[in-house]
Amino acid sequence: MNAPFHPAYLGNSAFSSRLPFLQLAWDSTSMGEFKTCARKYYYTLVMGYVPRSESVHLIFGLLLHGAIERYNHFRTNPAQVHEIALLNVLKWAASATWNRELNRPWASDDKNKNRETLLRTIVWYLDEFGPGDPLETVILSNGKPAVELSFQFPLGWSSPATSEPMLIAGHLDRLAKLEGRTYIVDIKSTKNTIDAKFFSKFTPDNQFSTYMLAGRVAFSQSVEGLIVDGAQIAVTFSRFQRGLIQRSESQVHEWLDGLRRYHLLAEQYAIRAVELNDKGQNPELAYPMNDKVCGMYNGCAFQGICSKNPGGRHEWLQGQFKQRVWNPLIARGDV
Amino acid sequence: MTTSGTIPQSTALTEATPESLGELLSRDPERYSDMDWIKVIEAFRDQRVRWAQAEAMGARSAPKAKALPGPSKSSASDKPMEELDL
Repeated sequence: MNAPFHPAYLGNSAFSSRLPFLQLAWDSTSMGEFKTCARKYYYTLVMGYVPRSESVHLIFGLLLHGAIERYNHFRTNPAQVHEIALLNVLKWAASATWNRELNRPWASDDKNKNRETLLRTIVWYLDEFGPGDPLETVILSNGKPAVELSFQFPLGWSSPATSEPMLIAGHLDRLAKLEGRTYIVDIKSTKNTIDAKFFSKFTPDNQFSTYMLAGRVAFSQSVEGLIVDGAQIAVTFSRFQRGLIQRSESQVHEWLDGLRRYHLLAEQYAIRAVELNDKGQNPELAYPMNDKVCGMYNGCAFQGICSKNPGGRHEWLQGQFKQRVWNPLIARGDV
Repeated sequence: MTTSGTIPQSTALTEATPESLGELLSRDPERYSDMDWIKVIEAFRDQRVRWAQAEAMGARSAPKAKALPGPSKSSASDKPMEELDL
């Protein structure tokens, strides 16, 4: 049975209560979708549609991040030696990938990213970057390790239509010190070789520009850069390579200026969506398709929807997708 | 002591073969014994050693990005699994 139709913006505190389609609190996910294609943004963020089966890459990435986050929490307790922390993390990951309902392991159809390669990657990564890592997790003033940090702060501009402030929100994996300097640390997995080309794709990059801004503004740290642990996940091995991503002040300002203009565009679309909605017309028409990106990123999940006639898409969406609310303001809890 | 000139045999890693790892991973982890967990970790570590040896013997990787300081290789673990009170 389909979930009841209920736009995700309703009751979502990330959206304006004065201009219903207007998102006020943005994270790198929602910004990324909006920059990629306004229609895709409308379907995924405003309406909350996501494919019924989640992407293997998303699941794998979340579990890998979750494992490393837990390890870093364990390791900030001096009594937790590497082997015990690793064992606890592996127990968590093995349970998280066990389908209790069906009493079987997580079934992935990807030969590179599956349960065994995940558990292997956790062991290999933590053996390599766990003990003896020159990166030391920053301890915050409240005594907690700077791991999985939620942030939100005003961007310094407001919606011209509603006067509500625009916010930016999100989560950083970890802040760490290296030779007295502070870095944001993240891990990215890929099936491809980790080389200079792999790291070059993060400049420019919406997500990492968000992180650099957050490190400097939300955590009052003089962030030197972003350290990325690239993890190549192959069928028989996992290979790691550490790289440095940097942003100058002027690059961050340029990115912010662009963001402000994207927000103005989002407001124009929201105003038009309300007008269409009030006339009984489909508000999705306010959000133009970027039909040059449908085939990119392994193909857009909504390509099949956008290929239908405008009048009949709603039923297809209801049948092929499920709905969820994406709210960047919801902080992730401590582990 | 081996005196016959035959190659010494060890069964120490018999339990850590890929087959036994696959069998272990097909079971509910909630029912693992402490020894099962040790076997899983050791099997993955054994894979890593064998892969690293194969790499060192000839496989050449693609050009790499400028490397940042990594961890010291001498401290791959604080304490062997066998010494821990699980």
